[in-house]
This record gives sequence, C-alpha cells and structure tokens, in this order.
Amino acid sequence: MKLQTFSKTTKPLTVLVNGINIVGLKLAEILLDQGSRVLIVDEFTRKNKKFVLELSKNEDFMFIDMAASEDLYKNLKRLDYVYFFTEQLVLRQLPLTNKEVLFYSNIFSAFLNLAVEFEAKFMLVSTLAYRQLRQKAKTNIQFLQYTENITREYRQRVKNNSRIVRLGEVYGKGMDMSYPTELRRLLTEVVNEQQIVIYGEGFLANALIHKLDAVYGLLKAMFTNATIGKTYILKDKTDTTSLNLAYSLLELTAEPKEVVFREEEELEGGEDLLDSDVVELSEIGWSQKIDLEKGLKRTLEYLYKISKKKWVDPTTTIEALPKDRRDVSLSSKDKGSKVVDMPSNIYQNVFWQFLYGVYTNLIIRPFQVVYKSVKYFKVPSLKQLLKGALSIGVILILLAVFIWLLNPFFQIGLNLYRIGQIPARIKTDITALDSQTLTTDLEKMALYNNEVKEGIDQLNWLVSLLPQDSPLYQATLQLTEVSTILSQSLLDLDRAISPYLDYLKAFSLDVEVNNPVGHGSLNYYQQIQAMESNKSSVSKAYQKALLAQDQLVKIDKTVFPNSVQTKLTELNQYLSSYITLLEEFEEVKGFVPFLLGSNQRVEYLFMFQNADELRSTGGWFTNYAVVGLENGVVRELTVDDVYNVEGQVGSMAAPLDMQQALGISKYSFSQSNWDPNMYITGKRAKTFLNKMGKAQNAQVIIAINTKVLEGLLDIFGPVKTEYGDVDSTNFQDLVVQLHKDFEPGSTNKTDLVSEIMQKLMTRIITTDSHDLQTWVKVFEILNTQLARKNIMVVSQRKSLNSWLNEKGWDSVFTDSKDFIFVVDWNAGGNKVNQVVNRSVTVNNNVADQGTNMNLTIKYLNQASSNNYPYGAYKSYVRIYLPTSYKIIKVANFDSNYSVRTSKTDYQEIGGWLTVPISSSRTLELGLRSPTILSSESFDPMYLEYKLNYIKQSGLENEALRVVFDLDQVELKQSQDFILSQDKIEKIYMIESDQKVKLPLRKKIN
Amino acid sequence: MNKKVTKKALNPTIRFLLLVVLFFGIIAVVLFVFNYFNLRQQWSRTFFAQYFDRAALAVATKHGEADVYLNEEKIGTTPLDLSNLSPGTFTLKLVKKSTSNPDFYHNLVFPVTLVDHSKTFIEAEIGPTEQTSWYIASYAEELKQASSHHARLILTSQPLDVKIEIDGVDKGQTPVSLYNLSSGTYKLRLSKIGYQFIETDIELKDNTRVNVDFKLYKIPLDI
Repeated sequence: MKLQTFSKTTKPLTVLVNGINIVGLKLAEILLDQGSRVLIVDEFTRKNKKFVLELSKNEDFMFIDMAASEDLYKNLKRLDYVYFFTEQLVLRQLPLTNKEVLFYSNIFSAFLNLAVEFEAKFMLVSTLAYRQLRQKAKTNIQFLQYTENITREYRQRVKNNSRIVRLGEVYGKGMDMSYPTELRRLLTEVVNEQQIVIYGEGFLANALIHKLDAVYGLLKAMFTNATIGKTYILKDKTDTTSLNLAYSLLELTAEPKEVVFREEEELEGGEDLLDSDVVELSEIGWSQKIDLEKGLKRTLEYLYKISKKKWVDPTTTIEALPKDRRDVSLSSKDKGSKVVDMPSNIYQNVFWQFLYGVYTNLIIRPFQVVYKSVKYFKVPSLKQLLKGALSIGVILILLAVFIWLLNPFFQIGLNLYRIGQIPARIKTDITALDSQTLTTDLEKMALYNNEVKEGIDQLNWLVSLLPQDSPLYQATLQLTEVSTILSQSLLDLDRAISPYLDYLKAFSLDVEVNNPVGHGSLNYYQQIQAMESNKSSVSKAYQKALLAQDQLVKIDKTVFPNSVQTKLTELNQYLSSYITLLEEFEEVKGFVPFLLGSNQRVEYLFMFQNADELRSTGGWFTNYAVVGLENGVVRELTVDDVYNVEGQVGSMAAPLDMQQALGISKYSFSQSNWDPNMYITGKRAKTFLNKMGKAQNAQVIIAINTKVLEGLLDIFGPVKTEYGDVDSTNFQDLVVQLHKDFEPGSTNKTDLVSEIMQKLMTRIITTDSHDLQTWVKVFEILNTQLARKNIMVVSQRKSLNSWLNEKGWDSVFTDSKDFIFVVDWNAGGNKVNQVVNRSVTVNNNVADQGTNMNLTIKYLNQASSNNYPYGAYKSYVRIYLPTSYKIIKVANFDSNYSVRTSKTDYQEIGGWLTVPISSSRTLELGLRSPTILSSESFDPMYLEYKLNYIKQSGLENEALRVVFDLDQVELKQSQDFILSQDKIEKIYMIESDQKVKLPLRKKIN
Repeated sequence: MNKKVTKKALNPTIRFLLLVVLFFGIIAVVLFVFNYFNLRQQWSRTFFAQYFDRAALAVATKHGEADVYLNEEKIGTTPLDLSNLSPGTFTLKLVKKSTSNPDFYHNLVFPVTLVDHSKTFIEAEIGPTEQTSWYIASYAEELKQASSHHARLILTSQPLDVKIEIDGVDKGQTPVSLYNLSSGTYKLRLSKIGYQFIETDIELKDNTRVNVDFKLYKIPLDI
C-alpha cells in the first residue's frame, strides 16, 4: 500500500518517529488494537526488520525508512498524533556525528512542522536514562536538549498542541540490551556473568519505568489536554540505587553470584536537562502499576529465554535449592577492588542489609568524605568557620540542656523499673541459696534507689517554680525516704542471712546412722562464726523496717494515682510480712549458732513415741536418736531401741508421784516420759542415756510422735526396707508387729526406724532448694505437728527454752494463771485409746469474788471387743490446775485420788479410771478460780474470760465446751455461741493449746 | 556533572519531624547509656573520688586499745582516724588488746556504714561478754531535697525500746526517726531500765540526716 492511500483514511493516524523500540512497538500494538492507523518512521536495520515484518501483517500498519522520509512529507494526507522517540539516539554508545545530528534535527523539525500543518498532537518522548549511562556521549545529550528546547520554542511561537514527556529508563520484555546503562549492565551480569559489579557504594539513582507503565503514561499524556505545553516526568515512584537494583536482581535469580565492589571512576559529565517547570505525570492521574520486582522478574524471564538459559524463580523455589546455590559472597579478585565478605542470603535478609548500610555509611563513608575533603581541600573562610562552629555549639548546648532537663525523669523511670525487677531475683537468689548474687542484687537495689532519690533531687528547680510545696512532691520525697530505709534494711538482712544461705548450700551429711566415722573434711566454722558476728544486723534490719513502715503510713497516699495507691497498700502488706519475718529472725538469731554447735558440741535427743498407746508426752516411747553437731557438721547420728537401753542400764528409783500413782518403786527408760512436763521427761531420759555414756551434751530434747514420720513419708514417698515398701499406711503396724516380736538383743525394730529415719533425712537434705512445693509441705507438717504437740521441744538453754515456751512447743504448762491440763497415761497394755473419746466441759458460774467452775471429763470407750489392741481403757488420769484454784469436789475416779501440789505453780489431782468397752465414765471436779474478770478486752464495756486449755500430746479429737448460765452473763452477739434455754456455750475442738478468750459482761437484773 | 543520587527534596514538615526525632533519639540514647551503666556513680566513685573527700572512719575505745577489723581485714588500732575509704556497709570487729588474758574479752562485732564526704564516728567499750559491751556509731548524710532544710535523726539500738531524750525532752523509744530538727548541738541521752545509759553530744546540721546506731551495756542483775 502506498503512503498516500494509507494516510487517506477515516481512522486516526499516528506516527511514531524512531518508533522501533520497546515502548514504540507496544504503543503501536495498542493503537492498532484501538482501531488507529500506525506509521513507524525508523531505520530499517536487520534488527528492526523482524518487528516490521511482524507488524506489517496488520493492514493498518505501515513502516517507512527514515532515509526515505521525504516521501512522507509530500504524500501524507492525514496526521493526528506524532510521537517522537529519542531514547535510542541518546543512549547509543557512539556519539552522534555532526552529520547525524543534522539529519535527525531535520527529521525532528519536519515532524514538528507536519504536526502543526495537520493540527496533530505532538509529543517529544524525551529520556532521563542518559543519567544512568556509565559512558555518556555529550553530543547525544546535546541533541536531547535541542529537541526539548525546540519543542518548547514551537509551542511558544505557534501554540501547537505539543508536550514533552521524559521517560525513565524503560525496561521489560523486548528491551534492547545494547545501551550502556546501569540497569542493562546489571541485567547482563546477572544473566551472563558469575559476578556483579557495584561501583562505589552503589548509590547511583536509577530512574526506571516498565514498558507497560510507560505506554500507559504516554497515551494518557497525549490524550489529556492539560498536558499541552508542559514537560512531564514519567518514571517509577521512587528511584532505585544501583545497590538496591543489584540486590533486587540477586533476589530474583537462583544462581550464586559474587558481588564485587569497585572504586568508582570519575565519569565524564554532561549538561543536564533543565529541571524547571517539570512535573510528575502522576499529576494528571497516572500511577505506577507494575512494581520493580514484578517488572524485573518479567524482564529476567525474557533475558534468560533469549540467552537460552533456564530461569528459576527463587521467590518460589529458594527453600528447595541447595544451600551453596543460595549463598552469595561478596568479594573481588579484580585489582583495585575492595573485598567484602558478607553473610549468606544477604539479599534476603533485611537485617544484614541494615548492617551493611551501617557499615558503608558509618564506617566507610566518613573515610571517603575525609579523603575527598583532603583531596579537594579548600581553606574555609573565617565566616564559614564561625558559622560552622556556631551551629555545632548551638546543637551541643541544646543537647546538653535537653539532657539536663530530661535526665531526672529518665533516671527515675529507668531505676524504678529496675527496682521492680529485683524482688523476683531476690526470691530466686534465696531459693538457689546464692548469697553472693543476693548481695549483688540488694546492692543494686540500693544503688537504683539512690539513683531515684538523686533524680528527684535534681527536680528541685521544678518544685521551686511552684507557688508552694507540692503535696505530690512531698509525698514522693517521703516515699524515697521509705525506699532508702527499706533498702538499708534489706542490706542489713542480707549480711545476716548470707551465712545461713552459705551454710545450707554447703551442708551435707558426713556420717551414717550408727556409724559416726565421717570423712571429717566438712567445715562450716566460717559460716557459723559469720552467723554469730552478723547477729546485730538482724536487729538493724528489723528496726529499719519498722521505721520504713512508720514512714510509709504517714504518707498522704491520696495525692498519687489509684494504681500507685494500690501498690503502696500492697507494699505496706509486704512490709508487715517482712517485719514479722524479721521478728522471728530476731528471736532466733541468738541461739541458732548454738543449735548448730558453734564452738562446742551440741546434741539433740529425739524420743520417738507411738501415740496409739497414750502416754504423758504423747505415746509409748519406742526408740530414741542422738544427733550431735559441731560447728554445723553432723558428727553423730545414733538410733536405738529403748529396750536396748533398758537391757544395759536397767531401772532407776521412780519419782515419788510415779511411785504413788503406779505403785512401783523403780521405773525403766521406756517409762521416762511419765511426767507431762517435757523438760522433766527429757531430763529423766537423758539420765538413763548418760549412764550408757550417751547424750552427754544433749542440750535439746525433742519428742516426736510417729505421726510426724508418717507425714514425711506422705511427702517423700515410700521407703524401701527389707520388710518391703514402708509408707504412712503401714509404718505404724510394722513397728507394732516388730515390737510384739521383740526378743532381747533383737535390732529389727531399731533397724527399721533407723533406716526410715536415715532415708528420710537424706531425702530432706537432698531436696533441691528450688523445690519450694516440697519445702512448703515439710514446713507445713513441722509447723502443724508442733502446734498439735506431736513434736515437743525443750532445751536447757534458757533463751531457747523461753522462746519454745512462748511458741507453746515445750509442753510446759505453767505460764498462765488460769489453765487446765488433763493427762492420760494408758496403762492397760493395749491401744484402745485409739477409740476412746475424751471431752471436757467447763461450766462457769461468774461470781463477784471469782468464778465457780464445774469441770467434767467424759470418756467414751467405743471398743466392742476385749481383744488386743482393744479392751477396757485403764488410765491414770492427772488433772493439772493452778495452785490458786480451790478444789471443792472430786468425784468418779475408780478409787481414791491424790492431790499433789508442786513447789511452785500447779496442783495435780490424780487417780485411776477404768472405762469398760462400749461404755462411758465421767470425772467431775468442782473448782473455784479466784480470777476476777477485768476489762482488759478491747471493749471497756466487756470483761474478759480467759482460760488456757492445754492439749495433751498424742490425743486427737478432744472437744472442750465452755458453758455459762444465761441469767448471769451476756456475751457479744458476734461470738460464735450456742444458745439454749438457760445456757450459753462455746465448743472448741482441741487441735493445739486452746487459749479461750471471751468478752462478756455480767447481767444486770 | 555525574550525579550519583538524584534526591528529591523532602517535605519541609517531614524534614523537621525527622530532625526532631533524630535530636531526641540522640538524647534518648545518651540518657539510656548514661543511666543504664550508672556512669554518674561510676565516675563519682572512680575518677572524681580522687579529687573529693571520700568516706572516713574514727574509732575510739574506752579503757584500753583494740584492734579494728573491717570485713575481717585489720585496718588499725584504736584510737583510729582513717579517711579515703570506700563507702558501703561493713562488719566492724573490735578485738581488745589484752596482754594478760586475750580470751577474756568479747569481740565486739556490729555493722557500720561509711558514706562519701562523711565521717563515721564510733565509740565503744569492750567487756568480757556481749552484754557487757557497748558502742555508739553515728554518721551524717547530706540531703539535697528541697523540703529537707531541717535535720533528721534516725536512731536504732540494741536492745529495742531504748528511751531517747534530746536536751531532756522525751522523743520516744527506738527505733525512731525524728524530722524537722533545727541545726545545733544537742545532748542526747539513751536509757533503758536494766542497762547503763549513754549520754553524748550530737551536732545536727541543716540538710543532713544523722544516723545513730548504738548498743547499751546490760547491768548484771546481781549488782
């Protein structure tokens, strides 16, 4: 078809000058699809031929060789749109010759004129990509400037419909790889080379655009009238540095590559295009549709294809690739190159990218800047120097001022946070028995506290600005005072507690039961001496804690936010617990070193009793143990049967009361717990053992009922013995059986108790200090059984004994003026007391001169058989009362009873009582207490009735009823009383010594 | 004319905000490093300490000399006056020098606190037992707080509940903290039934907290 015919058409005719390029071809394709006729004017080269032939299949397409374009000017009948592309002229490697410049300038002018002539829309498709050339041809850029200038000039002169669009470097499928741009170089290296070269730091910014985005933009710019006379930039939203471009490309290829950094050569520059009045095409609504990654992926796919190589998309298959294929190392073998080793997967790992950025910007860059500064150094003027110094000075002063202003807040906040972390660490330190870390943590706490305090001090200026002292500030100061005193207290406590932790951590058992020969290598002397030395620290810690609490309660908490108020209330509670703990520590600190054998041997005498056969201090005395300590080291651990002692020592003259009661003149070791006063019982037991040369230094005597061992067996599980697994359910039966089978010289029972004791001790000692659950259980058992008197302790050391007495753990019962203590001694040779219930009633008649008391002790024998272990309950019953009590009536003993008054502070009524099976007996006593009720109670309107009922060790399920006549007294309604027609009563289950305290008042008729 | 990076000018507001963030970021980093490593305290304890007074200790014993041990390290014999000591809480042990019977006397052990720029004063008498020994230890701490122009006095003791009298005025029982005291020298009397009282002068200065810890001599019951 001839041009004349071709252009004589009703369809719009578009001419694409220099149109055989990636954008022009795509544009042509779209325009043809849209029903336009497209004429491409370009050079007919071998490379272009295939595109021309392909498009020529469409009858609306025509190609004219630029060399024959003169025909065009003459025969063209219609022209609607002209796109004049410049990219291939600018980006080509060879500079345009003068002849070529003249030739292309003529062509350009001709099409500008044609567009004016046909009133066609004209667009100069300029390019920004020349900036991305590593070798720039000056004349090419000058030609580009020329075309832009001429276009503008035409617009000014003839007001034609023209615009300029500067394209970024267009990439995509079909791109011409012959131009020496950064993108093309990198693409080529990625596809064909084993290494990628980065020049300098790779900061060269590349303005890019995918061909589809470019075509879309050009169409929009051409068809939007608002673009007339303007210059636009059409490129991706952000420029991409060569380094990022390299990383992006590496991410898209699965082949391992070396990244080589090369020094940047000084490139020949060229004049740049004018940047004034240039706007982004996005102003007319264009937006980038294809992001870089997507665009590059398509491009790479294409390039691999034309290179006849297989491209694998690593973003979908990277994990499946072998590691060596994913690795990228950055190095160089080239002369003058920097060798940089980077971790693998650098291009995938943002973190390493960040690190690399820090490396180049913070480490390398400053050197380069200095280097360049030296190289191109110019002496600054005085003005410049002053200006620079002033700027730096102002910044430094500002920084200093802000730091000074903000530091107190930061200091307070950070250190408060750190103080908050300490308690948890202290707990860990203590359970780990780690005194050194504990000290460090407490010292840190003091340090942080000091920091907070000083932070607040630094805010003085803020307070001084206020018209008057701020209550919040005052309260905060008080709080820091509390904190200071408290941290001092903790440091004092640390000094006191550290030797204990060190001792517990180092403690181990060096001897075996009944084998006192240890290794002798253990030495806790230092720790025990430190306990002695640091005793006064406990007192200081305690007093500081009291002062801290005193100060805390004085703080006006209402000035703080609610959350802080809650925290302060919690702190007060913790402080109370802490003070209680210190009180306990204060009480025991004096004798703990003694208990551990400080400077002298201390021995413990353990008396094991079986409460199934009730005796004065708990039960039938079966075994004993002696534990000897010297400076914290266990030197002796003896367990033996009472019968072995009896066999060796025989009997001794019985005490008078025992003679009278039991009708015997001598008594044996197993009867040494006749007296309910543990102090006397312990002394007697010790006398027997001393005769054997044992327990000479027994300073502490402990009676333990088998219930305690059963409790420990429950915690630590069964113990393997030659009789099988022994646990809490069969221990007692086994001991009873072995006792029944006892023959002189037999050690079966002793061996069993020894073995169980040794294994239990080993388990206790080897229990991890972190195993708080187990320790809590052990302490619960010990605490409960001490209260229930299944463990009783006495000592010959006065201070220790008074502490034990205060705790009620010694069974010494004469410390109150109103007490009742009923003691049974089961002499029936059976264990029927297991099914005998004892209940005590105290019926009170309040009089002006004291209180008349009717005391009844009821026994109910629930046994239905006379066969062992059951049968009649035959007990010698003793009732202990204060000497001030007048005995008016005693009734219902089997026969005569005796009354014995001690030298000091009690009287004893004793007599036999037999309770046959399935029957009950009640002892009755009439007493008069001289105690006149006084108003010691909290409410002066009420008087206080007090009675201390002492629990007998080994006796469980005993009930105490305290009864008053209703016509005599009124009781506070809040008390838990049972009311009947004429009586008012309160019932107590006796699980420990019961201190009865009732507020009441005499009834006024 | 080779532009490596084509920079587009940032929006001035964003630029300003970035500068502010950078500025405060630097401040935050400085503050964090400064406080996290307690540099102020470190410097004051190392670098600055050589130019300023550190803690000092003066120990005097009645009726004879005694060797003075601080955390089991002998530091001298009474009367002792030392300066340039490290601050902290230590265990002080006084061992009476006795040529005739060195084991007769009890070693008096108690905690002492040493603080920077202050002297801790200790006066003691060493008896044959712990109960028959006494001491009084005091040190002053400087307070910087705005509201603490007046002096404070904190007293702790062994035993507890010792009666405190200042210039004859009953001030309660130990432990006690007294606030808002005017500066000046006061007569301090510490007494408890069954114990030998202590009377001493005490000087209070504004903006200070004086800590007094003491132990009374227990009078044997048969006297």
